[in-house]
Amino acid sequence: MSLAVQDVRRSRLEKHIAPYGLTSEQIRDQVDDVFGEPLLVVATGSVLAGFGRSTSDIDLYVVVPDEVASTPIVSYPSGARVDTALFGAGTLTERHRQMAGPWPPPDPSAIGHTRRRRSLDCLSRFGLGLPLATDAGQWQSWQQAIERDVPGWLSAWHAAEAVRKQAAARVLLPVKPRLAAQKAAEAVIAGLDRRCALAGECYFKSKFIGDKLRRLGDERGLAWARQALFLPVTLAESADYVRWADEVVDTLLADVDTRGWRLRLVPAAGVVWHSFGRETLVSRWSMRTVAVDADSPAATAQSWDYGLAEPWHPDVAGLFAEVMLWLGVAGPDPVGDR
Amino acid sequence: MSVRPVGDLRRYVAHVSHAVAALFVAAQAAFEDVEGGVESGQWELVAAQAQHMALVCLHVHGLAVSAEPYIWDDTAATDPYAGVPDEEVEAALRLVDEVRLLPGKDPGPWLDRMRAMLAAAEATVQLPDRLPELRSPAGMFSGVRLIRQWLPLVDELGLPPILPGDWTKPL
Repeated sequence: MSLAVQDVRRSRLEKHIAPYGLTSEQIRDQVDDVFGEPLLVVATGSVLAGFGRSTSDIDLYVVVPDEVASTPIVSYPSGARVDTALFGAGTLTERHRQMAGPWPPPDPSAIGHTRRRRSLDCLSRFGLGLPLATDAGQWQSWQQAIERDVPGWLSAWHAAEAVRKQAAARVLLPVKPRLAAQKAAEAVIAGLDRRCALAGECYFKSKFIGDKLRRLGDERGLAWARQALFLPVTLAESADYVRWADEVVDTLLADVDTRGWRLRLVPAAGVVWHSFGRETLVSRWSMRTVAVDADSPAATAQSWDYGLAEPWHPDVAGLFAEVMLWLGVAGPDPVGDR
Repeated sequence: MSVRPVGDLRRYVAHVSHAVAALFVAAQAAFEDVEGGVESGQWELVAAQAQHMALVCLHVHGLAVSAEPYIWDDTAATDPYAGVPDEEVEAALRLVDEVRLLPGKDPGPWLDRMRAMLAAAEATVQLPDRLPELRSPAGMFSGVRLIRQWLPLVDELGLPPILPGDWTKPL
């Protein structure tokens, strides 16, 4: 982090806490040593990113020697809200190591997807924050290395998410137009988030897409965001909205090399297949059930792969629309490329 | 007499537990962003979070009828509209759409309607007291205490976890 960037972040922090009569040292002191002596304390979040308000909280991200659950610990020094999140050094090191893997991965899974999202959220907050205490060694260097890698990680994530949501919108449109419109909007926002990351606006939270684009002076992107943020009010408007979003996403991803990318569907969490004579019953959390012919590919396979533009088997599309399948994007298989 | 029929066991437990968690963790925070964004003129933030709050509230209504819990899940087809009549969906999205008209106007009446949407969703679970506010000094522990009492039966029934993995599992 350059000194100028550090100054900007420190200035944002001090401006935010000054009305509470607090100093950055007092913020840092919100971190206890009950989980071990902290190795790194970073102030981060929307305030440090420049999008916060007077009522926003300060996030403190802390590296501690031992493993801990990441439930935020909330404190209110002088009325200012501080959310402290602790992360074990071992897990954090492992998650950072995993970020070197390609995204989208050749073998996508819901668990891997969630882990990547959480890792990105966490690591980017460390990287884009202001260190309030460091070990002046390994963890200080680690924080600086993270910041350098964040744009690449985020642009790859958002590109895959845009493709994922665009594919979902296309499949859902004939059966659930409102849901298709929502997924189409998410695809546009993901594409715009990628555009922001590539231009240096790397705050992970999509809710600040307008603020990021405005700060970049990206008028065209801001106009797209404003359209995407308002879902069609009536059902009848959904199809046109999805088609508009589809074109915008194609434009936003025009430079992404999607060769070798595929769509993969696997059973969603809580889904169970039951053989029932000539039918197979597919239920989720035993709360809702759909029936499919027992010899349908949707009943006989464990996962389903399609090219990005390839039509899906109607029963697979049906199970997906019924929220029985999880959709992921698979990147090129490194073995297959040899 | 305190006896009252609550219908199907799984439906009732899923609705009450997941609706409360979704409102406590997701909808309240979204509404706080809406209020703050209105104050600071961050209109895209207001639109994004008004939409998020509206979708959570619709899902809470749907949970009472036929939806299954989805809030911490992203299959790419999870459906916040499931079980909700389209006229209710349209009314919620129309309220979000009114964000376009807010700049330069008194946002008070619109905020009141958003607040009412949140209260109506909360009313579906018939808690004896109003839900604590997560972002208040005593709110977090009160809310988690409320939710924790439902965990044993949620686990016993094999329903999805009530609280987000971001809270309950190491990174």
